[in-house]
Amino acid sequence: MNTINPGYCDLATPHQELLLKAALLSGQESITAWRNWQDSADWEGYLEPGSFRLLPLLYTNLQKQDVSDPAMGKLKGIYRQAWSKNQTLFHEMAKVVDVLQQAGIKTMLLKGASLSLLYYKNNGARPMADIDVLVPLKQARLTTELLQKAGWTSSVPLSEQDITYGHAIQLSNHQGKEFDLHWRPFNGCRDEYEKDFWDNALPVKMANIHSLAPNPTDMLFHVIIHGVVWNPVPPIRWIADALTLINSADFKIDWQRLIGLARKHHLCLRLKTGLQYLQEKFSAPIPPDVMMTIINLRVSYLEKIEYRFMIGSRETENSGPYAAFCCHLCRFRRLNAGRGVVSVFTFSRSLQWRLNARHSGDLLYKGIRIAANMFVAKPLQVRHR
Amino acid sequence: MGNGDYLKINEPNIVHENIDGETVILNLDSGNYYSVVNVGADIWTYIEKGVPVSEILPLIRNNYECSPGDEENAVNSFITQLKQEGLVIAVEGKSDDSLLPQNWKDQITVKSSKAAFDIPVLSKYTDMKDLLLLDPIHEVDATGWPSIKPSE
Repeated sequence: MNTINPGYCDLATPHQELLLKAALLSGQESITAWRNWQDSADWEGYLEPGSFRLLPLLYTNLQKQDVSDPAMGKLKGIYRQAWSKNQTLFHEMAKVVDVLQQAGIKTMLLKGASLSLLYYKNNGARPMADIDVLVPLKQARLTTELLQKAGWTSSVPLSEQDITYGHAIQLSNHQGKEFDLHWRPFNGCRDEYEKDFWDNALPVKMANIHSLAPNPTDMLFHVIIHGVVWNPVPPIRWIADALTLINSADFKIDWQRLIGLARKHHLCLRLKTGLQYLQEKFSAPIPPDVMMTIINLRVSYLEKIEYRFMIGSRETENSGPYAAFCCHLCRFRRLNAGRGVVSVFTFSRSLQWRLNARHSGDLLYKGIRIAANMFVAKPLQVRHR
Repeated sequence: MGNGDYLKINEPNIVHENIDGETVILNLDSGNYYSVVNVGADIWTYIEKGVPVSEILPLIRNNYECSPGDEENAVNSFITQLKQEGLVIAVEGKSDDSLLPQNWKDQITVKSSKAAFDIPVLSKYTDMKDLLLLDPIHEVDATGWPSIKPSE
């Protein structure tokens, strides 16, 4: 997707859409999509990883439709394996959450864990590679120190700049187990949003340990802004996650809050793209006035550049240093919005962090390389996290 | 264990789910994975619902066509196995009644027609670490993970 126009033609391929429909719709629509999906490709021969991750959900949905098919045995097995993996992850991470809570540190489970436990209400339908735990920004340092004592370390030490400008770090233990520790809910999240995010969180229980989960509106916001981005593994499960949230009988989306979040964080384009896609392809029940407001949201030039960078493959022209620079500027603006005049010094410090520059001289050198690269189109290594 | 005694699932280290009539059980400490179907799955459900041990056999007799005597040994042996594997623990009725659901009779339905009794089997799979790495499409048989495809 190389256009500023937020088209959605390749958020999922037609084949992936058949699978999504089989996994999400009900009755004959689901069964027809399942038959067509099976007929259109040999999924037992090869299946790309993004589609594979939807198979446990497909199994639960086909089972609800009483589908009888020779493939159900294997699909059931895929569900069993996903359930076992998730239970193992919950068990491991409950110990981590317990360590933090014993020390008086609040925790929130982001992404898959909360989706699975609270919104899917099913421990096997939504597979996860790892678990994401959020702690309050002010306790990020204390958290890493505590976890280090418990055997969880990062490949590089967490710097003050990481905390100031970043949002998460991956920790691992001697058994090779990993999880993502967040101190901001997402990259470039405004600090002013933090209190609101925590105050509106919902209780969730993971393996007998109580924690918190984002409320359905915040969860939907995160699902869409994390989903409508390029990823080596096609991130199509965001579509299933978003539809599960929107169609939930137990939870209601606060659409005005959702629009407010997109405005505050300058993420209107990704939200608009995601919701338009969900409505047009999957008839997501989004109120017409809400949809109209979202379609008419103003999108800044910087946000458009960031969108190009985020949605485009890293091999495309949109991944070049100019786009990366704009993307960083957009995130910096997001972090510092409402803080009045932010000095050039503060921005250069953040850029120094982004470019892994050791000091201002190194930043200058790398800046010159960026400028040179703009002409020769050679990619420069920058932090994507 | 006399009348009035119960069994309790050894939570939180034991997790379980009924998947389309099959009960899958995971021991998170040992990494062992178990599967039970039919009579075994019913017994597990009775334990989960807080049915006293003394009531399990009558319920099985109500729901299955049993040959006199056979079912008693099979059910007792199965329950012993569940205890030996650490999947359930014995609870003394009087001291721990508060831990158990009291209205199990409301939650257990008697089947309209009796099915043939088959000996309950606790299928056990060890080495969860390897099982979780298994390709669940290409390395399994038609019944699906964790049943590994026989080598050719």
